[in-house]
Amino acid sequence: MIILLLRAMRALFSRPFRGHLFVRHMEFIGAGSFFIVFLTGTFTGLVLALQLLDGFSRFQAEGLTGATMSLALCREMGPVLTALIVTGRVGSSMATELGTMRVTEQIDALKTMAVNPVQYLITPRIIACITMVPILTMFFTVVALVSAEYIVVDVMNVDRGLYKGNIQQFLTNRDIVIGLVKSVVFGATIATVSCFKGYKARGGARGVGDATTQSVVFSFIAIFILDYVITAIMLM
Amino acid sequence: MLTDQNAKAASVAIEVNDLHKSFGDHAVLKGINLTIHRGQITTIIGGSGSGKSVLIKHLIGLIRPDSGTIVVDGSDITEMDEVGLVQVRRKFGMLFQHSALFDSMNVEENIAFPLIEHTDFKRDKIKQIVQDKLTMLKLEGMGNKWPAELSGGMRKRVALARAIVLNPEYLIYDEPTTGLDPVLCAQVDEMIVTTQEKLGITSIVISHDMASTFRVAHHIAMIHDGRILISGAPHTVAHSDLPQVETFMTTSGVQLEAIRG
Repeated sequence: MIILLLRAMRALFSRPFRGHLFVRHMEFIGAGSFFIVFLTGTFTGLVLALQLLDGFSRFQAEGLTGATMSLALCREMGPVLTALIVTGRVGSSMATELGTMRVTEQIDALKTMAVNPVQYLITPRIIACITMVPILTMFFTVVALVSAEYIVVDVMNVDRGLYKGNIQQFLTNRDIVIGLVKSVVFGATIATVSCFKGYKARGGARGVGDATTQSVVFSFIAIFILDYVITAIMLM
Repeated sequence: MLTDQNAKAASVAIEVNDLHKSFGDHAVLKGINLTIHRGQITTIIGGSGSGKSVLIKHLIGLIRPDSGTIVVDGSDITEMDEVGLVQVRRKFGMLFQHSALFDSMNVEENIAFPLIEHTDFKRDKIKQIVQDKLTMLKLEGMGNKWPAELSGGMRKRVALARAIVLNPEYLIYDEPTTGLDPVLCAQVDEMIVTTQEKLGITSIVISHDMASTFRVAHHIAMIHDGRILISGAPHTVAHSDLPQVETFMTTSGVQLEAIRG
């Protein structure tokens, strides 16, 4: 899998360069996931706000909701939840598409037409994931914070200035960087795992099904393990 | 004498020497020797699992052999790296058994794909070439259809159009008549012959369809149990008294007497 990633990255710097493929995959990953990320972000923000307010109200610290929310979302929930959504929507589709291309000899056809299939199929997908997952993550975080603000300020009547001021006071650039580093790593992981599983698919429709399942399961596990590793490295 | 030898060398396009390949414990190719002549239709016949497809994939470097050499146009492709193989593959067109059309592209885009990848032609010129190929293969008006909308025979023709669009020197057909009805089979045979006559392409057909083989082939090689059992002109093969050859031909329903004349 690492070898595939390295081959895909090396292919990025060799001719020919196919800009339209990068744009097409970015559109599929980014624009295509926008609505579902918006929805999940909204409800994550709403739920988190309710839970934190309820928890903090037990020791009269509702004012800390903003700070806790923003830290949790930027560092953890934003990158992880976005990565899980992208795995379900994009990773599975990548594995299925490449798997089908493999079992119907379309990948062999590319090779016989003297086109490097890694460069043509995998490089643009990995690059598109690496660029779009962080953007989706930021979008998710912002949506969640805005929807949380609605609960905290408009429903539970905490002072708006207190909520925002609290976020500004506690959220540092470092928290945002941690989130972005994670989302870049997750993006690369999802695309590499899904492309690898699809690319190596064998044995007809069943093989493609197996490849898709494995791509989702492996990506999920990899995301949680990497999340711990990156957190440990960056906080120690 | 020397010129005679040169002429002979020039007519040899591909030479396979003592090719071995195993997958795990299973030996598929056990010493293949085969010569493919320029400008002819060579048909490789053999039962399912005899190693025909594996042999073909070696010719274009999709599979690397365990031992042996494959000389294409004077250079041994088993020694080449991926960059060298890309150059060799450009000389080949291949028609896959199930056509292997890109299902994310329509017919026109499929045929244009090799041109877009390997030439600097302008959009208009590419469109013109694609139209010419569609006309040549009687596919007018099909350009905007998707592969899933086409019948098996049409898909074959689109795949052929895609395979010949860069004017390859060699064209490989992987079981072109498998799964087609007798009328379509005859059409595909005709397509192979006319393509070879019009474009002078060296064609390699792998098949287990004996009737079709005797209609199109200039040269027949029969592969059995990982080795070439017999190789020669159709009448040589038809007159062979090797039991395996005779059994293969009679059980496939070919009128041996008619062919032997």
